[in-house]
Amino acid sequence: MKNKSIAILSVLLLILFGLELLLGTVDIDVFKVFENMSSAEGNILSSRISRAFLSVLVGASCGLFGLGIQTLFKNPLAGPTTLGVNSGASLGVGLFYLIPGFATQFEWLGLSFFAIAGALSFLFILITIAGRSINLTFVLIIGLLLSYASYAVLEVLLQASDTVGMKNYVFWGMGSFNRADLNSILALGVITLIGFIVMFKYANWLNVYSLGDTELRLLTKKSVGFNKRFLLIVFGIWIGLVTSIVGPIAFVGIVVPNVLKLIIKSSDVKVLLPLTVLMGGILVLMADLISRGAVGGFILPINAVLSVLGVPVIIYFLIKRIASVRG
Amino acid sequence: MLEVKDLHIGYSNALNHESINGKWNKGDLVVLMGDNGVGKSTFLKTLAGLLPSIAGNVSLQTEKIGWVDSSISKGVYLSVDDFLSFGIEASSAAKDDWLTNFNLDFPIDKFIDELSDGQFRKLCIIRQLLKKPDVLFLDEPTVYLDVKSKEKLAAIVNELKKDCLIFCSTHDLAFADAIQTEVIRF
Repeated sequence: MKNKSIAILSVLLLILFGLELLLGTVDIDVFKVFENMSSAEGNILSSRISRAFLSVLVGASCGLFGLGIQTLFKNPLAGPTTLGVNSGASLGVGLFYLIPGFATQFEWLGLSFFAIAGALSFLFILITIAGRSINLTFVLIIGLLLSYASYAVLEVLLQASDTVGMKNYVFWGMGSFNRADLNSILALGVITLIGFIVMFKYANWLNVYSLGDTELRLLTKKSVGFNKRFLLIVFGIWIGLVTSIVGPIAFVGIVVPNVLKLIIKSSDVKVLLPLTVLMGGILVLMADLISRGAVGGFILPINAVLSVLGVPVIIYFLIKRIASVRG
Repeated sequence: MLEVKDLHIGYSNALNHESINGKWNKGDLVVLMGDNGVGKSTFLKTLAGLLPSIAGNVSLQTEKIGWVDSSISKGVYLSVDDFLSFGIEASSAAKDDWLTNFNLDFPIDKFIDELSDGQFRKLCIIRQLLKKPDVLFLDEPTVYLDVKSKEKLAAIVNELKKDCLIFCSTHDLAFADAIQTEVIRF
């Protein structure tokens, strides 16, 4: 089942990757264009290639840190939004775009700096307030409160901002793959690789962790608190970077791990890691094809497309499952 | 294998007035009996190193510890196979043998929150047995078990004690009779 799933998902990913290059609102002959990449059509093709890579990396990242956070919080609904990290990144980006003159003055620092700084400072507040033991219920409550606080500040900033800033911020919030430049892709590629390796190294630890504290303390010598904090910081930086490049993409992190666990009937992190990369990539590639009008012909916000694609799938699997749970 | 000296147990204040002393080895089977709240579970946790002692010393000369109580998490998407594999190395033949031994005949990819409490309890016991522990702590292991399964567990415990040190707290007199060698009353 697991090997079969990997094979099927790999083929699907390759097909969608190909479609991402072939399809678009402008028709181009891909094979001819490859010979002359400096033409106008060459530009279109290279932008499609960038978007394809970005989609796969964003899908993989969102799926992976979704899986990590859900395992860490023992809650299948946890994600960047629940931790408040997305709100931190939003606040950082809000400061950048919405305070008049701020974006020009701090352009040299870049949008990513503000998003990561926002994400990390919220994570830091979270860990400081929640104390050394990192009681998970407290973390969830504080994450939620931080979100409300950041939305309040953003509302005020929106009132004070000029039209251009407001427009930039709102578009960023809907999620967009238009900023698919080489630097973003490289940065995202590096952090995705690091994140994947960290999760792979921690796979056994996370597996035992999901059985509860007693088993964890009997079977592993590593300090529980240290590992939780370390993983939270890795996820915080990762989320901040992804969010700064494509905006807050929350849905992939929920739908991919949940659906995969229901399909393969297991929570084994080691098995889920490669599957999550593939399925996250597939979901975001599909969403990008639709959102940029390559399929369907309408340009739509990517978060809207992701929800429309993902919600029916997850509801279908959950309904099938709910009937058989006891207690 | 396990030695305690002048031990006082508890969370913030000591539960016992007289200090506990003792030395146990493989082949010993200790049954703890006493009212709720007197400190049976606290004693077991202290012995297993899950809880610091208030005073005194515990020295346990193994890391292969089995532990059965009600604290283990059922998870949302944990399958039977996950539950019997995470953190332990056991062959699928060994898993199948134990499942058959306890009359559990569901598929190994079944989610554990679809099991009854009794079935889940048996699974918890199997997980600890698969660890091949040197010392096994059983905190009220017969809760949720039917009569047949209690007899089965008693037989397994009696067999296991040949090369394992076992501590068991229980309120089940029949079960205690079937397994006991040494009783500590709290």
